[in-house]
Amino acid sequence: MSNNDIQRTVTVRIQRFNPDVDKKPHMQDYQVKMWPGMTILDALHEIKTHQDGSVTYRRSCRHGICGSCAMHINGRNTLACKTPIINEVQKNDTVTIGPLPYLPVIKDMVVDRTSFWEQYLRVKPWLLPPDDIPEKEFRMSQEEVDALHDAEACIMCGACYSSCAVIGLNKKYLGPHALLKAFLRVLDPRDTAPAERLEIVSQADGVARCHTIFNCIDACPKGLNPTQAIETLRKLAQKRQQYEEARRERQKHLNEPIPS
Amino acid sequence: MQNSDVITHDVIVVGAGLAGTWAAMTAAENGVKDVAVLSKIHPLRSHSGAAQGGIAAVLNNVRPVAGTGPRGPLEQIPPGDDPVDSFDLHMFDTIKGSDWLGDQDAIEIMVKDAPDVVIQYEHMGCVFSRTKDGRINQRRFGGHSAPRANFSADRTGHVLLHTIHEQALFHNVKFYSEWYVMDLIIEDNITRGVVAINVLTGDIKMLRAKAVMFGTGGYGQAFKVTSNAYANTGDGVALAYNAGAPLMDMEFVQFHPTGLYRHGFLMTEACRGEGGYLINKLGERFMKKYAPDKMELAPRDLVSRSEQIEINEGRGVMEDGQGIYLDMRHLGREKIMSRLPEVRDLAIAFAHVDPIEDPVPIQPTAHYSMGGIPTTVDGEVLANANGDLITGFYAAGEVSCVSVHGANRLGTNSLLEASVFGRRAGRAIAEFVKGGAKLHPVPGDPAEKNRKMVQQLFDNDGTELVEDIVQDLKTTMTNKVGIFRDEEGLKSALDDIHNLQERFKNIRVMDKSKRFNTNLSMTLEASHLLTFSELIAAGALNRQESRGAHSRTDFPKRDDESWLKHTMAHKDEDGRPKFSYKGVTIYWDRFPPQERKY
Amino acid sequence: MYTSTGFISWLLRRISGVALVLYLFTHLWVIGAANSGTQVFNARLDAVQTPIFKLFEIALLAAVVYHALDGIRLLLIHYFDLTEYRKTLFWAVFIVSAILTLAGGIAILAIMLNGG
Repeated sequence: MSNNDIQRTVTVRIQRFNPDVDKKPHMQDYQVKMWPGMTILDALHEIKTHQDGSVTYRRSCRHGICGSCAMHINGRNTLACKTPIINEVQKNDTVTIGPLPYLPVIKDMVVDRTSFWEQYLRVKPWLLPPDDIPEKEFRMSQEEVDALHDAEACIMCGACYSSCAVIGLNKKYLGPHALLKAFLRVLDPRDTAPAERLEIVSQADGVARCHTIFNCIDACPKGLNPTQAIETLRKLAQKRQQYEEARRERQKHLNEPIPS
Repeated sequence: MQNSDVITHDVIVVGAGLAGTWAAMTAAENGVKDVAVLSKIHPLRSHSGAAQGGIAAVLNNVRPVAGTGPRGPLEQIPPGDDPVDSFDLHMFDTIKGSDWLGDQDAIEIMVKDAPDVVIQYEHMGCVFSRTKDGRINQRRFGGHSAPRANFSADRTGHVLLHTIHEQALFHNVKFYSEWYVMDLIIEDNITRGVVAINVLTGDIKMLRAKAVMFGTGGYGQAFKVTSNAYANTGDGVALAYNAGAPLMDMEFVQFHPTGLYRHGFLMTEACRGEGGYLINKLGERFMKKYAPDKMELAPRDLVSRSEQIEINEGRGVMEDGQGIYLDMRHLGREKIMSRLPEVRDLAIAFAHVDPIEDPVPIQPTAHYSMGGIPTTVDGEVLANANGDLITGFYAAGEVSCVSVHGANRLGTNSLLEASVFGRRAGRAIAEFVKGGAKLHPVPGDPAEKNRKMVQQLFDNDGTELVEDIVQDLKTTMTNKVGIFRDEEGLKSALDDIHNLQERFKNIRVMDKSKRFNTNLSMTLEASHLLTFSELIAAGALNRQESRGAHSRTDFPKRDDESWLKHTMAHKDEDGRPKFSYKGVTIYWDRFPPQERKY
Repeated sequence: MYTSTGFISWLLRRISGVALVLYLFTHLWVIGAANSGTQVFNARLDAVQTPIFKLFEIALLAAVVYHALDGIRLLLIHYFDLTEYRKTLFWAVFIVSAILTLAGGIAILAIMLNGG
């Protein structure tokens, strides 16, 4: 692709909605001149600072680690800061941007994440360690770390959550983000309450509500797999007492070196 | 003043990164139930989460394999074998890294608290990378003589932030998410509280407290190419300065050597810690000329200067010659995928290169602020160079200057500083509150004053856009107050900044709505950028030597006779900085100043 | 709404599931007439053999085939990590269901046109 291609002017179509003044959401077009490497977030910044200061969205780090800028771009959820604009304007030189679906809109791309954070709290995201705290670190093998499949990399951006059709129909569903966090804690050998956690996720609005639609995997900007985490929780939930006993056994050796 | 407008807490913490959250959680653990944390973005979005490489602590889990040299492989230390690291060594590395401007008593405390803090993170559920026998894994890092960077792949800051936030929730700390603090109220040297805007509704409220703690982070957004988030606009330093607190060592800004070319995002120092090379246009590992011993693992200020010299002398890469190559191909696929996955992802997403196949273009990027609000080792803010305190005001983390980093910070010491001093501040605050601290009255109606100020901004309807002023500031700071400075450039920079402060009076805020007005918050942030940038330039002009990250081409040598001291800047009646000096605490018998060579 | 192959798959699963339940009630209604004597039974049986019901039969075939194949897909997903093949599996179920429905549908219509 030549540089000439990149520097053309394109249309950024944004869903605008300020409940204080608008009766309902409406689309508004802005013209932006692209530069090489420009991302959707860069385009929004250009519009907000030079054309229309009322265009409102959340953002911070610009490189996909803070999770602020998840929004709906050309029909899918992703991070605005990691989406090159050149890929999104193939059709009609236009990219369409809106807020994450299924959540109440506060203003433009800013959504109300109250239910998202409530579900995160419901699964008790903090570790519940044993009472017997050693002087040095607990011993955890690299294999046990790998078994978490990078679940600790989740930035809580909400792209998965608001791509989930189940969430669209049932706001009480725990959601892929909370279940991924529960998975992280259930599988951690340092956690003393796997049975209690599995109990929490087995409730009516827990793992049973996942219909393996897989939108979460497509949406996740970190390449994580909440569906597989949920499957694992489902299987473990069926044998939660045994799993807890195995955990107690493991924790007897939590302060001993991992045998080679 | 309407009572319904005032919110009261025992303790208010501003900033929900590592420092603020540790302080809040520790205060809660120590019996202060009424702690509230205000954050202008959701706590989990704090920039602590962007840190990648590791957190330093002398754990002695890992050592270099015998006979393989300084870039060779590492192995776990078998139990019973001799340790390779010590507190003295960590102290020495940090002191040397600071170019002898760090206060050695504070450094000693930080280094000795480190193992406990890292182990506490692990006990709280942090996921670390592990050695074969299950201990926390460590890697090499720039300026450190032993592998003491405890890491979690290349997302250490992220896991630490999430863990401490979860713990704070467990301790029932109250978070005010998306409340932007606009003003700090200090009267007669006693802290009264803060004024904050609830971004969601646009309501501006007074919040009274017995103690206020700032953990508001750094100010990289004053520069064109920075690793810092949009949120890092130095609100804390500007508010403290405007409220009458001094700022210390503001002229020391760290430029990280490996920011992604053009964008500035951090490509962790661990890329070099795991063995990566820095290459110029001629394919040379040019660090041989500047730091023959440590090479790419010399401290950041040295590496950035070396890169800048290569660039200035025409040996840079990319179309404009402003880049340098970071070559990690020889590390191999397995090591990159397991140790540097985030960095690889960034290189692919933003530079369109895969570090496994190609070298990555990087350039120096404004990264860390060594300077800030001066504090004791317990986070208490100093009122002046004599060591008097401001009652009820605390600070920790990047916003503060204890000073443990002096003129230059070593990598992995910042996550450490924020955690150690955040925790210490929390304890100090708990003691202060339990010891009978009073809720002091608020003079006048600061909330109303701020509401009027906001209305004035809305009514101003000038001809200048805030962003144009910000871009001009960034250009000035990068070109004239960057890696290499001189008198002419700095004087010109100060003129530019005064000019921009004038232009700022003529701005137009486009969005005048109440609800979630980020145009307003960005305007306030811009005013803060102008405030502290003046201090950086003035401090740099004032300090006639080169030390650590502050490099004067007209005063290229370090001058311990005249300049082995901290710069303190107070705001005088004309609104300009007035300088005084504070001595550096040095253990003359243990770590006397030496020549800094790597 | 967030549309995707996964969402369509789930939607068809629900629709075919509901359809099968409705079929069950209809079937019981017809067969249950056995308790009410030959005349009622024959009347009901005739009622469900009119041409319109032939179309319903094809729809029933589609529902059974899709629901069964998708059920097998679900079993596979529950026991193995087939994330990588998720799109392939969705399309396999759609296509095989379509083929079987088409084949069966043609047979049903052929039988009907040849005089039942």
